[in-house]
Amino acid sequence: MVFGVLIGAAEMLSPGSYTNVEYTWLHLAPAPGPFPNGLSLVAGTLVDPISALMLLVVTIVGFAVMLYSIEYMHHDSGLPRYYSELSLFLAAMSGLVISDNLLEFFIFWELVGVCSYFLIGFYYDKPSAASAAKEAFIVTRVGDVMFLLGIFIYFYHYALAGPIGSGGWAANGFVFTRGSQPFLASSVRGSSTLLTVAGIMILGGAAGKSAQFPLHVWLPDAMEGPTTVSALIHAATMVAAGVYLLAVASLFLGFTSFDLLLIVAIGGFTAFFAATMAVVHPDIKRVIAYSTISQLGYMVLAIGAGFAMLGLFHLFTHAFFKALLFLAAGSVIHAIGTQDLFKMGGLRKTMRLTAAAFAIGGLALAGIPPFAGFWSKDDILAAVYSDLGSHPAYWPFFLLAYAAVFLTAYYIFRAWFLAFSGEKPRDPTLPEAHEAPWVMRIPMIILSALAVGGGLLIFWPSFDSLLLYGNGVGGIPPVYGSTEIVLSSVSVLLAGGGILLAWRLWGNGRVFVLAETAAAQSLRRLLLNRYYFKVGYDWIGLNGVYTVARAADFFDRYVIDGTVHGFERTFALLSDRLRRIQSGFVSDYASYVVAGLILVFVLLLLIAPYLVSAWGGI
Amino acid sequence: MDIGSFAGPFLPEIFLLAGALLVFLLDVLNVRRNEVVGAIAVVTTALALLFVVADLGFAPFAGLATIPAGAIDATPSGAPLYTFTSLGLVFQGVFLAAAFLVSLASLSRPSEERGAPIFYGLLLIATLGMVLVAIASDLIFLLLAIEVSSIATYLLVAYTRRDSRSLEAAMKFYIIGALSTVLSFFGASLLYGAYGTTNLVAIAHVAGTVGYPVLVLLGYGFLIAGLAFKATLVPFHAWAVDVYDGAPTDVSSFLAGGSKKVGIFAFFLVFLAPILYVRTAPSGGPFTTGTVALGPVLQLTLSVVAVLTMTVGNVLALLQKEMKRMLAYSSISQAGYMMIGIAVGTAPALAGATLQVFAHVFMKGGAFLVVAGVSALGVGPLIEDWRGLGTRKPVLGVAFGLMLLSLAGVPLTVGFVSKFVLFSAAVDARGYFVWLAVAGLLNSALSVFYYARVLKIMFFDAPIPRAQPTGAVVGGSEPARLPAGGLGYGRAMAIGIAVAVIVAAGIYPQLVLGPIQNAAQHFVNLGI
Repeated sequence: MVFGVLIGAAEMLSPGSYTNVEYTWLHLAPAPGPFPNGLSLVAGTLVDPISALMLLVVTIVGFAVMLYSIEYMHHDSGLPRYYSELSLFLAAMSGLVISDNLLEFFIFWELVGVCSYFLIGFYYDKPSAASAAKEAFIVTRVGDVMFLLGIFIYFYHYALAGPIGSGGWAANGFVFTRGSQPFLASSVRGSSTLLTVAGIMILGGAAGKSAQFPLHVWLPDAMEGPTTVSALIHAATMVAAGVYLLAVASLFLGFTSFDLLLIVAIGGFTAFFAATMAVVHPDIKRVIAYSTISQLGYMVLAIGAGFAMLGLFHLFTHAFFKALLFLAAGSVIHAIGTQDLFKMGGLRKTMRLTAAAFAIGGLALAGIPPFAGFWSKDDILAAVYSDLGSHPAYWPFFLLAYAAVFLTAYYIFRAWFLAFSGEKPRDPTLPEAHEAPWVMRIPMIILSALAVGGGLLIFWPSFDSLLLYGNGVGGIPPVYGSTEIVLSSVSVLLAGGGILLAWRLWGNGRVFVLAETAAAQSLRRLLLNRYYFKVGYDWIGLNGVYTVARAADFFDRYVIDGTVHGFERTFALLSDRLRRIQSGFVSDYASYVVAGLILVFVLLLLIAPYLVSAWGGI
Repeated sequence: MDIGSFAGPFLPEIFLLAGALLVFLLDVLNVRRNEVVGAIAVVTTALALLFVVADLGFAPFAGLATIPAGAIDATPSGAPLYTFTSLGLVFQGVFLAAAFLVSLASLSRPSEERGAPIFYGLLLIATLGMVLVAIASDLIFLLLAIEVSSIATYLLVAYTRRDSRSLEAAMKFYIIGALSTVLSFFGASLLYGAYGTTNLVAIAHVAGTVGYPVLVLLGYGFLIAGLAFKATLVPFHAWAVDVYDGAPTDVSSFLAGGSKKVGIFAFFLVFLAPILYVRTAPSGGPFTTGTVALGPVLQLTLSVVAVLTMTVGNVLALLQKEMKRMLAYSSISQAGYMMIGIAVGTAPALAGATLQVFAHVFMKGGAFLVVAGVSALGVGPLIEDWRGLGTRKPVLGVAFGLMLLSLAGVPLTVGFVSKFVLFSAAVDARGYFVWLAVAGLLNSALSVFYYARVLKIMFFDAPIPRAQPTGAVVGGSEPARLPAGGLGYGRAMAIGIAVAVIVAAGIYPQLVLGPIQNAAQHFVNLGI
């Protein structure tokens, strides 16, 4: 883990360098078909600026979470399982970010998926946890299948594309980059319907993993896992994989303009849509979960608008403050044993460090300067704004994302005020709160420092030049001018307004009771029920998929099993009959040789010449 | 100093012969301990293997190369008796590896066992014959080399003279072998009648001009029948099951892992030239009108034999109750897969078949070595007797399991890679060859059934309660104890090497596959 940090840091210090090690797993000779120049399957590692950035995120957050787990999990049983799964999770994610080709990427992608299943379902004896794990697995699986289809389309379409090596992409193992040719050059990029479909498939895969609309449903339920796992999933591993995939695909493969619009639309919409759901939720972890979906929307928006590195920069800062928020929430849960915000209150008195950590995370999330989130989020908004001139269709999604700034500040401080301000807990039965032990405090301190200072890294020239990586294909981030300063000021004001509103409604132990008007209440119900998406999916699942499944089951049971059993019986019978040939008498064997000789002659002299001439002398 | 200039390109063969003679000499001098003579065989085969690997151009051993660099894969001039091809060297390596593993494992047999010198001496002689097959480029040279190895293997099967089962097996082996030799030589003489030469290089040159008389067809027909004996193709396979079953199990390992491949390589040598070159078709077949080329006729015939072999082998393996017989049938079906290589006749297909041959040494040869070790521990011959072995001897169980998985073609084992390369080459060849791949795949699916059954019995079934020495039956939960002693270092090492190769070549196949692909390409370009 420390080693990974070192690799990432080293890469950071010498931007633009490449470390590429690979070996050919299997090479197939050229043959007619889709891969006329042969096909190589390779396994290799590639550390370039984007993977270095990701490696840092994965390893730092992973380290913090591991350290925190020592105390947080130590009452649980099944710890060997926990730590081995957590390690596998981190290993798979590290493998994913340093993969140098799509197939290897996919293998690690699937490993990440299965690890998330294990960890979300860590308390597998709890039905809700088991079902949340299943949900996460199945929903992301929809994305995975799309991703795989996308890979196949790209492989097929770009099999012969240069400029990578001689013989094209397929003959060189579908690697992302090699030497001085960092990207599948724009010269070979087409813009066909097929590529649009492939792009949509990749987007589907990313949306599943990164919980973007409409595949966002699994992420809030994934809160059933231990809080440490949530921190990891939300910050460094699972959801980051989807954004990373989009970034890699946009830098390396390129999307068609329709795909880009779709990505922008999904990103912008999700940023707003998820924020609205966070506004009313009473569960501290789920509020943070919705904020993750919303923040991921910003990243997707940035990538769609052509600023992949800015998206990854936001992922970078977000990882720190989001992990911080989760660890702080975990500290609260650890102390008082509930996740219900309406039972908490006044915790800042007993849990000073946790309250401060949560506040820092909240300020960073809300985008208040100089906290980390401000720099990355504002970069995205400014960059997308600078692009609006050439893409007017992005306007509505830009506005949605902008509006979400206000909601973000409101909901996260609503959570803070509910939990930490006031005199005493609303639920008097809660146990006396206490500050977390040092093993849990150290990771929070580390992450707090990063949440404060992580964004300031852009003033460091070599980090800033990292963000320019891939400018050959992406947009160029805008230089800060008067427009951008106005834009930033407005967004800071919006955030400030959100915090103020939260204080007015919930500060100092106040509880805001929504007016009993029907419209307001039905909106609240709609939001609490998450726009009825889950109900809808369940309905589709039960009525649509289940019917298909029943039909498939029938087919499987009677047609396929019937065939299989039929074969089984036939072969068993055949085997039994044929076995009698093996009489053990050598004279019989000799006669078989003679019979074989006759067979060979019949074939050679009669059947084969006849067939060969009938087939036109193949 | 280059070793090649000192002893010439035949250093591996010289070593094998010298080793065999030394063993027999020691026998006369009354030095018969298993470890001593066995060590000679191990060292001899290991050195010969090292030379062959060096000749193939693996960098670390380049200094040991015995054949001048230009002589390998050189276009032969005239009608030489032998030619060095890199594919032939790969096969030499395969044969030597089989011999090495078997002699290494046999070190673990009781040191006072009778007949040890005979065993190792014959093993080395048989290996010598096989190694010569791999460089043959003349039919007579080829058939004589096959005879050298065959006669030694007949005796090997019978070397435990007191065991009537092994004597019976040897007798069957010998009778059918003699019959097949007659067929082969008769086929060769018919070809001589047609072509005026028995030299494979010369045949490749003149074949196109002589055309397609019935004599040629008859000659190749007899050769198919004769060589099919060695390669255990259906319906010339019947001896194999009784012999593999009746022979001492280490010998079965050698037969399945090494000696059978002689037949496969002989098919490559004899049939590649007509398949590649004899496209002219002057007179048509005797019973057909129009013109038909010889090559496709041979390919179709070999294809039918290949499909027949893999199917019959697999179907018969399904219901076998004895471990050795099951492995024997599975070995037959594997020969069917290998025959796809020559039936398709392209370089990738030959490469796939060669990789299959390579894999088979370690997975099937290794499996027989495990069986020998396990029966030395007192486990009976039936598959049922292996119940719970995986839990009682976990390391051995996992090793055997890996071999079976590789035989079934599960990814990350070498068996998967070889089948993948072979079948994809058949698909790439188009035409009816696609159906060869389909037949191969269906057969692979069928074969999983009996491999998986063994795995289930080994790992998931409770061990059989055994009668205690006192006669009291131990309760069902108490497994019968195996002897505390292990397999012995030699056998454990041999099994370990086999498993290591299976896994290493499965994880990083290109290491082996690359040289084999090159060799196959050279072989097809050379076209003898």
